[in-house]
Amino acid sequence: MARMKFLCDAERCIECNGCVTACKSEHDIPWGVNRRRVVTLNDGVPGEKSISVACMHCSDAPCMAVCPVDCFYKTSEGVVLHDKDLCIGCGYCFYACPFGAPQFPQDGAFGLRGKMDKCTFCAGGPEADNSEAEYKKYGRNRLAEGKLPACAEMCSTKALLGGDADVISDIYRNRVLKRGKGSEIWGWGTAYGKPDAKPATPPGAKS
Amino acid sequence: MTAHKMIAVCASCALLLFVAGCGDKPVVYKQGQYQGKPDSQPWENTQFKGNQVEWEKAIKARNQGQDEYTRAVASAK
Repeated sequence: MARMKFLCDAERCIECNGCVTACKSEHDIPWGVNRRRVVTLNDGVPGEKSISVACMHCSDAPCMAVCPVDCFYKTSEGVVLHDKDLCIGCGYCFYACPFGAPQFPQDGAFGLRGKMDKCTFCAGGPEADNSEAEYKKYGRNRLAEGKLPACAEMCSTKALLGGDADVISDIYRNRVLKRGKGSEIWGWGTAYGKPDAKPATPPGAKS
Repeated sequence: MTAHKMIAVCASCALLLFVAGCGDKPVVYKQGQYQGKPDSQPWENTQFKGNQVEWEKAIKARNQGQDEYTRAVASAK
């Protein structure tokens, strides 16, 4: 098994936030904590691009390097996880992460900063698989159920791919080679009609 | 109990308490080494019963399920 990764196709992402909702719902994530979010570049400008971002499960993770209590570990599938029992909520990982993935619950009084929470690639944590303790601390462990992350599997346009890096790279590569541009794009014919088909009403005719 | 004995007992108790502090080992974090609880493999549970091959097969099927190009071809057949 190779490394588990996420890959977001900016050409397909329609900023529906379905991945964000799927993640929140799957893991019962509290208000204010966003393990996944959709970032849009040039929002409102024609040609805007959106991309779904969460923990990218870096091969050489900076959060692991800066953690003063060494609460991070990497599974054999390349998923970066952490032990919440050890985390002191210092926030160093947040400063180190280039994706802003680590989240800190701030629902308490006096600006409380709780233990770090982040995307687990739906792989839970160091508690017993699919136990109540694991669900409470880290959310559902879909990987142990033989499933991929909820965000990727729920993505309606399949913009967000998640899984074995080799496989999803192949899927993406194949897609880029085949999809073409403009009217060649997958689904264009269904939505707007075949480009070579005659228009329903001849030009100039009264409708 | 004489005053001398009392002083001797108190002194020995104080000495024991003083020496006990030397046995306390400070917690030292080993840099770069995970300090938390060990995690099990995703196939080590009641569903897969330790069968890694079966788990990899399930994940592979899910992986391929994300490719609508192959899915469309498969459904057209």
